[in-house]
Amino acid sequence: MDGKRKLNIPRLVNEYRVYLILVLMLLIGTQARRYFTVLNIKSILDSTVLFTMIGSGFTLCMICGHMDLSVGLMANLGAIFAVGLHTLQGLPWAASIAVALLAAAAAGVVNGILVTKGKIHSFIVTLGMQFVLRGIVYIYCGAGEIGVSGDYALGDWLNHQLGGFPLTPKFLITLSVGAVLALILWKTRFGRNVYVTGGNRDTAWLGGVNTTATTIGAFAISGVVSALGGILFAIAQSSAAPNLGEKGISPLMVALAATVIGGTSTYGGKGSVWKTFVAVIALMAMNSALNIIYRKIEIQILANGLILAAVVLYETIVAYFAGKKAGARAQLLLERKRQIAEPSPR
Amino acid sequence: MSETNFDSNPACTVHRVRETSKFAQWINRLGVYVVVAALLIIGMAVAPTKFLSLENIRNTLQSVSLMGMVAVGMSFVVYSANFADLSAPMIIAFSGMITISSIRMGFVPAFVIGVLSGTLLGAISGFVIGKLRAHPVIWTMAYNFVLSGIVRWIYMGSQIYPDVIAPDSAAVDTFYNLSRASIPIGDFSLSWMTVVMLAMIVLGQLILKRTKFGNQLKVVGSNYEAARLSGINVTGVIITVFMIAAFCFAVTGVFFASISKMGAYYNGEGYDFRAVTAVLLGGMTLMGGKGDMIGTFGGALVMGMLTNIMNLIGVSTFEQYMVLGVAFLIIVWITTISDRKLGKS
Amino acid sequence: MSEQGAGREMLKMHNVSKCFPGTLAVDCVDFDVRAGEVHALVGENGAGKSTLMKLLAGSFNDYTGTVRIDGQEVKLHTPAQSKAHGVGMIYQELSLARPITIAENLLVGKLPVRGLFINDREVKRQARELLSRVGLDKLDPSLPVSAISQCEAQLVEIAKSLGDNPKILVMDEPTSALSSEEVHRLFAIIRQLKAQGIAVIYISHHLQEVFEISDRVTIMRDGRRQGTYQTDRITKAEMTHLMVGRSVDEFYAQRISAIGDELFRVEGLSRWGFFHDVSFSVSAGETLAVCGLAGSGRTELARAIVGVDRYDEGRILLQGEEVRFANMFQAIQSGVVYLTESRSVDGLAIRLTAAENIMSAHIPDHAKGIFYKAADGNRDVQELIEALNIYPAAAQRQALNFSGGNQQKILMAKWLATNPKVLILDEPTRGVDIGAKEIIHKAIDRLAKQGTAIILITSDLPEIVGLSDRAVILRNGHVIGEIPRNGILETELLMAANGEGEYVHV
Repeated sequence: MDGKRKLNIPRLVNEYRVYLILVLMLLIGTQARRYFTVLNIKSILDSTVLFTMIGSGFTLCMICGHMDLSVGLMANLGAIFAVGLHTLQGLPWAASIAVALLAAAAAGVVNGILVTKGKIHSFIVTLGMQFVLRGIVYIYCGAGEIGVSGDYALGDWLNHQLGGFPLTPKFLITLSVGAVLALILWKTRFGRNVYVTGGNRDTAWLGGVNTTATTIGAFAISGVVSALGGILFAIAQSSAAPNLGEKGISPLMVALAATVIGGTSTYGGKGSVWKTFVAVIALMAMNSALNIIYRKIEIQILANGLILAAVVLYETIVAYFAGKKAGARAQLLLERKRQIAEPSPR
Repeated sequence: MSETNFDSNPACTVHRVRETSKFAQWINRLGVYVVVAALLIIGMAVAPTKFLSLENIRNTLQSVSLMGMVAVGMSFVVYSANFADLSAPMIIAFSGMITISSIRMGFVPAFVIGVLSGTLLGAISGFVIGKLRAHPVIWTMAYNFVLSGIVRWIYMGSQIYPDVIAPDSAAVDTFYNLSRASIPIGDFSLSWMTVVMLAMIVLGQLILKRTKFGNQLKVVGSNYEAARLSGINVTGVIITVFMIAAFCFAVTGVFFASISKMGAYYNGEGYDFRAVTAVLLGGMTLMGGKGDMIGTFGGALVMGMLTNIMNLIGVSTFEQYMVLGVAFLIIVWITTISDRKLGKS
Repeated sequence: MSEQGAGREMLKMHNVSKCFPGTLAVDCVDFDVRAGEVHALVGENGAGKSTLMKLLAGSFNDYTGTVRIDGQEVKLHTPAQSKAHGVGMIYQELSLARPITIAENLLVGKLPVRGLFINDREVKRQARELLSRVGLDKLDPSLPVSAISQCEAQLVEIAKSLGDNPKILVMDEPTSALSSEEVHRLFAIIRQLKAQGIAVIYISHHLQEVFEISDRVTIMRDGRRQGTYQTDRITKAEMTHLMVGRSVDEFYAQRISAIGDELFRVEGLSRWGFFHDVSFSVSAGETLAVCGLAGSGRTELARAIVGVDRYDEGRILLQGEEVRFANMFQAIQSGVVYLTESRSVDGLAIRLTAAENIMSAHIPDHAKGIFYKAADGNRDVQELIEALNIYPAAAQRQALNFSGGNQQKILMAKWLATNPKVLILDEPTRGVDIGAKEIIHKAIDRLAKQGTAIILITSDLPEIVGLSDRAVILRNGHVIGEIPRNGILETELLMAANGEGEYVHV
């Protein structure tokens, strides 16, 4: 028993693949004209704002062992309420943003309660919540866009470039939120509880972790962070539309793609918000390059999809062959993880 | 274990099997149709003359026809304990577009090509999920993403119109008529789409209950590993499941294109989640191996009737979304509780 | 060598009972353990030992009777309460979270913090300290659990329990995946714990170990306590007698086997890392026992034979012809079937009815072309339910509503329905009550008399003695010996499984 893991190159490469993918995208970028300009890099970083926030929320829930399909609509909700309450009802920005975040938190808590106490599978719960949120969004804005009429100050501030750097307050806020989230996950008891709850709920419960509170917390944070992403996006664009980015690329898709590409395990207990962030940057970097080279959004979508599919297939195949090599016991443990479990009393 | 002491030891009083009341058993058997009956009563109370009029019934059925077709396919996926096939939207769009692209070859060939190509798309998902054991939600979402990219790239993001591809052709007329024709039954005319949906429900039910495949699928859906170790060809079963589902989506896609008279990559958007809603309302569970197509039909009916009643009352479409979502969560919650109470005693 | 049980009474369970739907698992049991004592709990599968210990660990909130820990009456309705009162439990099924690091598993729920943040240095220090208590000081605590071996994980599990400073430590089959050196190491640790005054409850099937490590032993059967004895004052024969309820000879009627020609033969079967150069043969009507400790490759061998797993070398001959099954379906078609080790994981579809389960391997034979409906198999199902005395005789009842013993009978019925030529049974009476066990044994016997060749994989020694005609011993994937009929005695089997005795030729 040597107690140390042997240096396993393929495993290391897989752990850090998101950085390799980023490098790859930047290499593609070298083929694009005026790619490495401050302006272009700024636009890449700016485009990550919405998707990073939503992606972080999705990743958080996934680490906890659940799927939050309502993250896209949480962003919608945040955007509509923040912009609407300010523009239509005349509340100051701080108040409208606060209300929006609170609403999202409440929705997230409902998600969490239905999953833990209601013992309904998170897939179903967030599916239903999607409907409810869409309804609320549509009711509030009557299916029309809400434009920020006249008061562009906040939006301009979010969008303005800082000095000669490719950075905007919008992006820095996103970066900070991501950093705080990563810190919480990495260094606080709550964060570690999220990991253990996702890794093996029984272990967590038997160890005295309040898995109910942890799960509800995860859903609440997911909602708030996603909403914040929508808010930043909408204010910066000076309008909130009821279907955020749906004619382009669905935000949920990108969140999922970034989470999976970043290496978060679909069974819970393993993952990283930071890597999701890097994955989003990688995808946006690629989109930017493709946009310059080919000028067609269809190619971007195709490329995004292919990368996600490639990563999913890769992980699937690796798990498949690992299962073949393992003995009966390991195979059965894996299959048991795949089975949709009878909701347990924890 | 002492089976005799079971009766005498006071620790066991709570476990003695109680005869569940006949009423409760009936409710559990009827499942979603209890809700259908309740909605019938509410509907009659709200709009006594209009609700039960033939025209209203026809319209309600029509409004759920497309979703019902998707739900039949989705039912197989849920029954097999593979969550849902979230690539339904793109298969719907894709099939419609392929059919339109081939319309010059005549209606029937185009229809066959469209449906066939859509069905084959399902085989890939079936393999990746059945053999390689990919996570169904993650894979089908990724697949949807890829297909979306492919479709948008092939057609360069634009819509295609049958009468542009093959102007003045009889095939195009037949194509348009497909979703608009009806079969007269006495005074009543039943839309062709509804007929197709009902036929799919019946066929789906037969497949589930009366074929070797359907009965083996029940075992696979309940416990994949146990099924494999019982000699069931689990990979084959799951590939078939996803192909049947894709077939249903493809047929839906052709009808969709027919209704909108065009092919577009966003045809079919939203149908995945709505179909899953109908399936779950109808009594199937994510754990698989439970429920049937009659239940799914009931789920579709509930959604249709709910929408219809809300329209009659004058609830706006936006509010309807919310009501639908809330109703869905409540019904699923009640189903989960009642299953647990009745199943365990 | 056992020491005198010393110290004050640490645990006293009085008149404790626990019921499940359909089964009275623990029936008015009294049980006590003293500080610094190792008290063994033995009994057949289904005797109630695990349930009694789960009760102690706080898994149930609906037991009756009283429990006193260190003199104080306590309620053990949740695991947290149990832990708070000083009960530490080491499960058979490892309860570690695999993607999480060893350190975090060890300290789950009590990670040391400095202000808001986790104190990483302290985490490492505490983890190392706990690991050193079980001799794992060289193990890197930042490794995820998925990266270490089963044995190391077992020791981590123990270290984790020790971290709570328990007064009572329960070990449920702790040696099932350990080699003999590792077992010795474990015993050294247990002796240390004794010296520290911890009350240790030790559940095991390995009677040898019980004699080696325990001070007292309690035998359970049918959910009831049969007796508690000083270990050095009871013999193995007496213990077995109490476990089984009758003397072993009476339990099994005189075996009359009608053994025919060779039906099934395995030659030089190997799969790297799991089993190597395994050869044996079984004749029609013969029952061959394959015994060995867990981890000896028995299950992998069976799965390879029926085509579920692969093998790298060797051949399989059925009735003289070489066969190779690519999957279970081919095996079943040829008449070679396998009853899996764990009925709840891959044996039964627990939410399906008894009838559906019984037919699950047999559907193609009843199907007419592509058509089949559930009712087609009803007659077969009824016959089997009657033949195996499945109680209650409700074919349309969900499998999860039957007791463990009846579930196992349903599993047995499923394979009987296929009319096999060769039946491989993997732990067919694990977790099964005595009544059901008898019925299953009778069914096996009947099958053998009809000419079926039976390969019986089991660690239940009386079962081997009573049912089999020959025994093959497997250890670490190698066949180390074969015992002919007249040599099959429990002690021989036990020794052979541990690598000793006259029938072992390595």
